[in-house]
This record gives sequence, structure tokens and C-alpha cells, in this order.
Amino acid sequence: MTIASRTMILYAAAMLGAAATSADAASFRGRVTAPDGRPAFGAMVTVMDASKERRETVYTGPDGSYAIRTPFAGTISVRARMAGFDDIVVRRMTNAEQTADLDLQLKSFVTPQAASDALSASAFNARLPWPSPERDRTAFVQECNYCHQVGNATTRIPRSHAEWMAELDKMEEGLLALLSRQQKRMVASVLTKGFDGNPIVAYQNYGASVEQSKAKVREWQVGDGFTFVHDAYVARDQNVYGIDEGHDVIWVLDRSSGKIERLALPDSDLPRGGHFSGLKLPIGVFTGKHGPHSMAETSDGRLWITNSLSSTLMSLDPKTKVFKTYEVGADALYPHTVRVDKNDVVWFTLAVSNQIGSFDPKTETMTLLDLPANGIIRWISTSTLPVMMRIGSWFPERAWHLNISTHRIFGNQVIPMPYGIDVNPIDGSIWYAKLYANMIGRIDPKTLEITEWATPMKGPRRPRFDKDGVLWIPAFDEGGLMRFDTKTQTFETMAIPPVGEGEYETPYALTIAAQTGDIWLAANNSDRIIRFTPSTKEFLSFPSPTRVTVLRDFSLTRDGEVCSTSSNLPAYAIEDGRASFICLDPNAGASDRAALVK
Amino acid sequence: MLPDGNERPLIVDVFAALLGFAAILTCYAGLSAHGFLVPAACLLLLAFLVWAGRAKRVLIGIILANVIAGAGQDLVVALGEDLGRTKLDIAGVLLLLHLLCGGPLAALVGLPLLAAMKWSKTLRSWFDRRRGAVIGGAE
Repeated sequence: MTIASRTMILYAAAMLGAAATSADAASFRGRVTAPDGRPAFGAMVTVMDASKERRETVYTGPDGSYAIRTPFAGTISVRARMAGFDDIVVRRMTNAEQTADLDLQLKSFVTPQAASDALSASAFNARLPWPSPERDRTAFVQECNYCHQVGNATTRIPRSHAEWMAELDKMEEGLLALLSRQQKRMVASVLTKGFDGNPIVAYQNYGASVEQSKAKVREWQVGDGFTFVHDAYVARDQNVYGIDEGHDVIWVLDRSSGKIERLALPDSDLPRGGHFSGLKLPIGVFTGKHGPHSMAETSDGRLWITNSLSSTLMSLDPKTKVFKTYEVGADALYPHTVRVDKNDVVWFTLAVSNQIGSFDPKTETMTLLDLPANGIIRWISTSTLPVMMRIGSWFPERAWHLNISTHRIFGNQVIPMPYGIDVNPIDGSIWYAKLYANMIGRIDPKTLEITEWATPMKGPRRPRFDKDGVLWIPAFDEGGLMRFDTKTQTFETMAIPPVGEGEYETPYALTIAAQTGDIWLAANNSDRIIRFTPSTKEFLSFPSPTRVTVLRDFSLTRDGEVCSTSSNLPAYAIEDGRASFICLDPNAGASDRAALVK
Repeated sequence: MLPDGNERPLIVDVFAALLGFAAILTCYAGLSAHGFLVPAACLLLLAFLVWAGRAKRVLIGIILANVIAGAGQDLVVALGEDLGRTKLDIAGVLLLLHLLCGGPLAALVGLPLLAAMKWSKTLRSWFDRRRGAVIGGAE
């Protein structure tokens, strides 16, 4: 070897060393390109900590550039992901003080199977061969998509008709999916034909935008593969509370430190599954008795939790960590969404028994209001359901009582199902959505007079008011957004653009940013969060960094983050096998760019 | 014309047909929700008893039990708040008894049937004719 050659080798080694040193950082900047070298606009760059339990993501700009600051140190992974391309993942040793330049080139898929595997559930369930999608798909959307994605890697496994029937029986007997025998047969037949295991070809466009490149998404994994964190709530202390319906636990996330605290609810004398113990609730997922679901806060700082399975309302003092339980009533079933009005009265829906509950914490008075039944079959079913559930509890986890349930005859329209609820900031009236009956209703807070309106789109789920007293309603069954002007009592409807041809969206919940008026929507069929701007009527997509993202209720932080929980049922079907807290900051990506890109 | 020379009265045909139709409807429901096969069988039994004019006391007993259980369940659910969780246990037993005795359609047909048995001589004598024949035979 000549001296020159040795010099070149030493120089190269020195450069590599320098490169390695510059890569030892928790912050990154660079460009993401497609396999052909063109800039990848709208790609996600995700930085994962050593345990991969925490991850932060930014979106690339039109020139493919990105910049991200993270608090992570040690061996971390950086991944670039974009629809239509294979991921590129690199690992780096870092400390928290340095910034590394890191360009990433997306890969082409090696096989059609790999390309197919990267698609969202929406691409797969769009190809299900419904005889008539308008007529036949509704029951599937309502009884399958209501709880989880169908079409992701876990649920699109090829099964025989008998195996799908057994799966649907499991969903009915375990989670009260209200399909009639006929509907079950039809759904099983379509799923047998549609999920055949062959790769599919789909072009999905998540709509790259400059707004995306200003945003940043943070995720914190929580619990295990069986954790079912339902709603997220940002309390006054700015911690995010995750309500674990399966395990009777409240998870408390400190966003700044990333620390997650576990608060166990007090025990109950009810059996596992509470008042629903007659059902074959999935073992592992539902280990609790209370089934906490939703949360709201009164001005004294107490947090109020609806316990769906035990039919109780529970308060939590976040300072002392003390819980207090209040019985809702003997035949009230499934306390669901909870909100607090300006007088600190706690209002909540009772989804199965078709009621609205209110609780005055000052006097500790519980009031139940029966809602209109919306038809004789619904009246019969709603009146007998509490008794039927009681009969079921005599034979725990056998689901025998479903043999006398009207849903097996009439299908999923046997209960009206009051679901979301909110308080009109203008006049203090209470508004609710009835998911199956396709109605919204208003309760006069003084006279308790009820007025209902039929919604123009099906599946009104968890509505919220904007500051002007306009009610915004996600239409789950039809992939839409509804606007109801409470002054003129008129509806306006908007269809949410899907990410691919023939696909449909399933918007679950929404929240409204006070400063901007933007509406943030959960789009649970295609792994994305959607922002709707009422002034321009424009929908923008923010793809989720993690596949199989099923978001529940949204809550806003004081500094503008939009937080939710990713809680597909079951959590082990989520890409990394666990539920997570997820917060999107519309401006943090821009801040990172400003700090890192000179 | 029956073997004993009597004509089956129209009112018997009507009630037997109504109960039979109720049995078919309930049986159809039972094909999906198997628990309804029990009231369907009971309705079929009631239809047979009316058609054959047999076991009047059993017939009346089943209908009365049905109606009392059904009404009792509604009352307990509506007014039994003070019973706490026991309320639903009582209502549950009454609901099962109501279904065992034919379910809601048995009450719907059974109440007019009971009224007819009280006020219609034809129906009363239809059920009493066997008794009369037996008594007559003994003579």
C-alpha cells in the first residue's frame, strides 16, 4: 500500500468519523426523496426513542425538506414513510444536544405483497364485494367499524364463511355488535369473498400540503397489547388523561417529561364486566368492572368519569388521586360521553338505556331523563334491555340472554343510542346525537323540554359546538361532516374526501380549536387526522405515523396541541402492538424548521 | 262436523287461528333469536287447547300467568326504583315467566280469549262439552 493510498484511507475514515459524530444528535434535518431522486413532498419523518415507546414526527415540505427536534438520546431510529413507497429506517446513536444532517431516500416496494401490506384498511374494505354498497354496507360500518378497523393486517386474514360467522358471533356475544342473523350471514359472505389474502393495488393520496409541513405529531405508547384506552382528556393541569375502559385504569401523561402514571379505579362489588357480565367480553381486553369511558372537568378541578359497565359516575381529584363513586340508577345502562355546563352540572348520555343523566356535584343530585324512543320496536327493546342484561348476569359470560334480544330479529336499529353530547355556549342548552336513530336533540336546561331533528347524514356520533353556537357533527356512517345552525335550525353537509378511489371514511369524533375555528376530525378508516377550515371549507389530511390509528375523543391543550388516543380494539392490531396517546401540534413543525434550518 | 256430531264454533276457529298465527310469527323470530322458540311452543299449545276444547284450567292459568307476569314486569320496571338492584332481578324472573307462558302475543290474543270465555256461552260450552260428554257417559 502506498503512502497516498494510506492517506486516502485515513481521510475517508476521518470523514466517516466526522459524519458519525455529526449524526450523534437528537435533532435532524435534511431531505427526503423518492427512489428516483425527486423530492418527497408530504413524507413523514419519524424519530423513535431507544425503546420505541415515544416517537415524534414531522412532514416534509414541497422540496422534500424536514427538520425535527426531539428530546431523545441514545440509540434512536429515524424512519421516512410516505404512501406509495416503502419505508426507509436508519438507526443512530445520539445525545440530546446535537443536530445531524440526514437525507433519506424512500424505497420502491420489492413485491406487490409489500405494496399491498402498506395500504390502510380503507383500501381493503373499499374492495369488499357488497351486492349494493348503499344498502348492504351500512350494517357492516355500524357494527364492525364502530369499534375497530376491518381491513387492517389483523382483520383481513382470509377466513372461511364458517370462520367469519364464528368471528361475528364473537363480536355479538362479546361486544354486543347488533347484527341480525341475516345481516351476519351477508357480512360473513362478503368478508369471505373480499379478504382472500391476495395483494391489492391501490393508489392512496394523503394530500401533501404546506400546512402539513408546519405540523408535528407526538406519540407515547401506553399499556400493553390488551389496553383499551378510550377517550383522552386534557385537564387544567395540562396532563393528558387516558381512560382505559378495559382495565379500570386512568393513564396520566405528562407531555413535557413523557412520564405516564397509572391510576387504578377503586374496586366494585360487581363481577367482571359490571352490568354486562352476561356477555363474553373479550378476555384480556376487558378485565375490569367499571369500564371507564369519557371524562370532563368541573371548575373545582375535579374530573368526572362515566363508567360504562358499572353504570356509575366517578369523580377524581387529580391532586389527591382520590376517587368517589356515584350510582346512576338501577336500570340505567352504559354512561357514555360526559360534558360539564357553565353551572358545573355534569351531563352525560346513557347509550343503551336511551337516557340523559345530569349530576349536580354541589347537591350530589342525580337526575335521569328518558329520551323519545323513536319507534315502537326501539321502545320495546330499550325498556327490556336493562332487564335482559340482568338476566344475562345470572349466567356470566355465556351470552344466553341474547337469545331473547330483538336485535337478532330486527338488526341494529333496535335502540336509538344517544352517543355524543355537548353544551351550547350561547344558551346553555344540552345537545346530543343519537347514533342509530340518526337524530340530534336539544334539552332545555330549565324546562328539560326535548326537541329532536333527523340528521341528513347517517351516523351522528360525537358532536361539538363552536363558539358561535353552531353544532358540528361527524357523520360516521356516511363519511361526512354536518353543520347545524341552532338559530336557523338548518343543516349543511360536507363529504370528507377519501384517500383512494372507492374508499370511504369513518369520522368518529371532532374538536374545534378556539383560536382558529378549525375543526379536527378523527378519520379512522385511513389512519389520518383531518382538519376542516369552515371559512374555506377545505379538508386537509395529516396522515398518522402509525398504521391502524383509531382515534377516540379529541381534547385540546392550552398551547394548541390536538390530543387523542389511538385505541383500536384490540390494541395488538395496531402497527406496533400497543395503544398510544397522540398529540398533533399544527405549528411545532414550523418551529423546529425555524430553529434548525438557517 | 266433529266425530261427536258437534260443529266447531267459528269463535273457536278464530281464536285457534290467531294463536296459531302468533305461534308461527314467534317461531319465525325464534329462528333468529332462539329463545323465542319457547313462547312459540307455548302459543302452539294454547292454539291446540282452544282448537280441541281441552284443559280449560290449564289454558286460563297460562294466559293469566302470562298477563300477570308481563304487567308485573312493566310495573316493577316503572315503579320499582326503591328496590335497587333487586328490581331488575324481580323484573327478570317476571320476563322469563312471561316468555315461558307465550310472550307478548299470547297476552294480545289471550286477553280477548279470556273475555270471550267469560261472556261467550258458545266458547264456554265448547270447553265444557267434553266434561258434559264424560258426565253424560257416566250416567
